[in-house]
Amino acid sequence: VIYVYAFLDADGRVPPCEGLDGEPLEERALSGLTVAVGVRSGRAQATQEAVLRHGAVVDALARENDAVLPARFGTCFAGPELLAGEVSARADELRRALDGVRGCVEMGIRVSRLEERPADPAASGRDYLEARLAAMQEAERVHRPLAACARESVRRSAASPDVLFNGAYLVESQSVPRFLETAADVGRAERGVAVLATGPWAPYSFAEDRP
Amino acid sequence: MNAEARTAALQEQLTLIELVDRVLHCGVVIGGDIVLSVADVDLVYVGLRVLVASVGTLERMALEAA
Repeated sequence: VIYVYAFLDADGRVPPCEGLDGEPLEERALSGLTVAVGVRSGRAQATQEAVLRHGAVVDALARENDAVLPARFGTCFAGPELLAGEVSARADELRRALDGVRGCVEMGIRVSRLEERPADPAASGRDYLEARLAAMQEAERVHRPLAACARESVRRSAASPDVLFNGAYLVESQSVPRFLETAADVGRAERGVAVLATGPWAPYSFAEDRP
Repeated sequence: MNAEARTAALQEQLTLIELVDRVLHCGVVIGGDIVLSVADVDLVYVGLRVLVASVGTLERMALEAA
């Protein structure tokens, strides 16, 4: 099967790199795009090691190119004509998405509560609503200055009740230091929460074309 | 562990979780074939479960240390 790692511009560079099973990274020129692929004997097994390898390949591509769209883990095609057909059908959309992330990296921000959670919903409807409102306002206070440093942002699922806010920001590479300074400032200003930044990542959360 | 080591350990674990989340749940979906089952994805998280549970604790430690 042909396993897809990422989509690049037509003149995108695919550096020598090992894929999930040590297979060499290859490039396919399709519909005005370069597709970084590996040819494997079977489907990808979802193991932590494989997931990290996929991430490492995308990172290697992101270092060499100013626009990269990572493919979702596990994307594979039974043959070259199936891959070519699918890329052809989605080519315009993929090129637009590449333009959207050009020159940018993704930064993650997690805001976590450091104290015990406020009263449970059953205790008092009013207390509960007030606590919810305070949490929303807090998230907004964190988000607004960070969004001002970013081209785009999305809210990601919090995954844990202790996480007040989990956001991804599309930041121009040269603005990363400013973004990190802003995150540190916000962290100092807010009481009772930890503001943690991760990245730079390839623009995983901004890879899908959005209207 | 001193404060700096705690913060570094926290950052490292958080980075790993964030990477796994992105690789598995974000990125371009192309092709009609969804090749991963929920069970497959869960398997990846089994290895990370202890890690996920410990992030909240580590965050508290980092703030206390700060």
